[in-house]
Amino acid sequence: MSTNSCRMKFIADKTFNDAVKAFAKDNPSLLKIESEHAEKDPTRLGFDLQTIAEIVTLIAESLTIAELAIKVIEWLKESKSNKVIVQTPFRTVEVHNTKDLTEGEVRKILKLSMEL
Amino acid sequence: MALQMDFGGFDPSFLGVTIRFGSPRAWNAYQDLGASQPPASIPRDPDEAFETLSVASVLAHEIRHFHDFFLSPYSARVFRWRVHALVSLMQLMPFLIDEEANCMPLPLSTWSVASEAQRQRYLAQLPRRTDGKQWNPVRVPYIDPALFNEAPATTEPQDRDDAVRQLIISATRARSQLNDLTYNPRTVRGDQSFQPWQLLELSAMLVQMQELFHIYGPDAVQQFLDCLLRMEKNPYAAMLNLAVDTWSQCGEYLDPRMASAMVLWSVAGSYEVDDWKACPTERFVALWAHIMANGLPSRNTSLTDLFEQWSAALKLSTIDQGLDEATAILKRMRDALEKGMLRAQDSFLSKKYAPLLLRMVDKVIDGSRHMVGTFRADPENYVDPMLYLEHLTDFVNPILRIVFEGGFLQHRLNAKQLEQQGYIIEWAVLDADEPLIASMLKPIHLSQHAFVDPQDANEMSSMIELTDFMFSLETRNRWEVQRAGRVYFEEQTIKPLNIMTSL
Repeated sequence: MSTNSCRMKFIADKTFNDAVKAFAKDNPSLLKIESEHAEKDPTRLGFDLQTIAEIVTLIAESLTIAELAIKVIEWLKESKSNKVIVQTPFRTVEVHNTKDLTEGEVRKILKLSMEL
Repeated sequence: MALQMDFGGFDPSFLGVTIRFGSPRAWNAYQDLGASQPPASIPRDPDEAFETLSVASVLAHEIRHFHDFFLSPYSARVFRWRVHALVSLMQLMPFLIDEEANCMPLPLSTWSVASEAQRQRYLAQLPRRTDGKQWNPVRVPYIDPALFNEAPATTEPQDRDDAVRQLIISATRARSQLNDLTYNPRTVRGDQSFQPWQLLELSAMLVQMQELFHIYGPDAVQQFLDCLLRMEKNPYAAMLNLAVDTWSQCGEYLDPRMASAMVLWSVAGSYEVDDWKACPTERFVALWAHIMANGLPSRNTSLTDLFEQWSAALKLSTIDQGLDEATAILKRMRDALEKGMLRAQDSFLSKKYAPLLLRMVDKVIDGSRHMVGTFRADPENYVDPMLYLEHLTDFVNPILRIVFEGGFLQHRLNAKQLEQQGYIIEWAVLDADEPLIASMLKPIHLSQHAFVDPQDANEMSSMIELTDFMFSLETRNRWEVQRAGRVYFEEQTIKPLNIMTSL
């Protein structure tokens, strides 16, 4: 991956992170998994009542925010989590799993996460 | 779409009751419940039914957490360490103002123990700055991790780096004490973890079930319980299951009064008498084993006798010792705080935050004394969930904070009208005529015994959240913590950076 790739951490439930891992396996040039960690107490992060996990990824510059936004919505649809926390070196943001979540909204949130 | 299953969340960083709404539907259900007499009907869909029942009873659940906080030495200790970390941070802040720096990698507890090589590697991995400048972090001296386990420094710092080192160690140690209190590795078996917060949840759940019984009757309680127990890996279910099993093994239905008594005895242990055996989960496990071996106590036994019998049989501290300790911890903290403030009268901390901190701690002491006095006057009224709900006018009046997660509320009233009605808007987008509200404090009048000023509680909570933002690896990811941190750094040239992996 190029030096301009960006680290992004996802904190969500296992299903969400499994979907991220499956994407990484199929698209190694776009997304690489750097580390995984289970969080024992979901309430500490304001999650609903399920076990959550965090996964640190390295995302290639060639994966645009618009494409990533579509993937995040797909992964959230598979998940039972009420939200996903997205962390970059600059920001920590939340995408809430609502019925009418649009790609535009997610794109806006992901763009914000990249701003200093 | 995931349904919202958890609407509360008590943390002594905000000294009140917090209710969270993650969707317009949940908020509308809450509004409908407040307005309708008789109560709104329960939807047929099981998930939606659970949401309605949760919304209907969440306030009672959270109020119980708030009241438990004033009685338990465990909670007093949690509060003390939170204030300790905050005081360290406020003393540290002036040292971190650096005109040359443009970033601050956080949490500081992680950055300070990183070697120069690790720090350089982290900076090299960051995306390039848009202004073309190099990343230039705030100067933080390296701290040998072994120093975190040594006794606190008693000497005055020799220079700026020494002061920064001492204050980071002090704040990190306070957070570590918090972790020691809230996470007991001795009550973990495989992937099953039994921690104090779950016990406090059981106390609140028993009250919540009673509230549902009042509003909807026994079938609704059963429906709520069934749904809760069915949830996969639900941390509340484990405690409820244990409670239900305890009685069913004796061929009886769950007795909420006795279950609540078990919880109260467990959370009111004295650490000064029992050391770590005062941990609520250890006391509960010991009590549970005692009851399993000796059978359930008679329902006619008075609570005072029961508490004495349990303490004597298990050779653990009494409720009275625990209650005395809860207030004493707060009083000692207040004295230490005042002494520290007097010593540093001209400091940034004293000028800006000392009056607020002292005022808040004084009010928490007043609240604790009131709750302890009311409890001692008649323990039944507090322990029995049914009597508890009937005697809410006797206990401390909470402050109610309503949070809209992942969105905003456009209230039918404008900002001025809300203010006139006693609301305090905590966070909002105020560009429009009608504010978009992220969180607000709503007036609530359950009793005359109001101690903490809502504005003070609000300000104190932002300060404590800022300590999490600066020092915590996990809780700093919470939305309200991020917000407090972001607001603090907004006007500064130094920008916070997340450390995302171990360095």
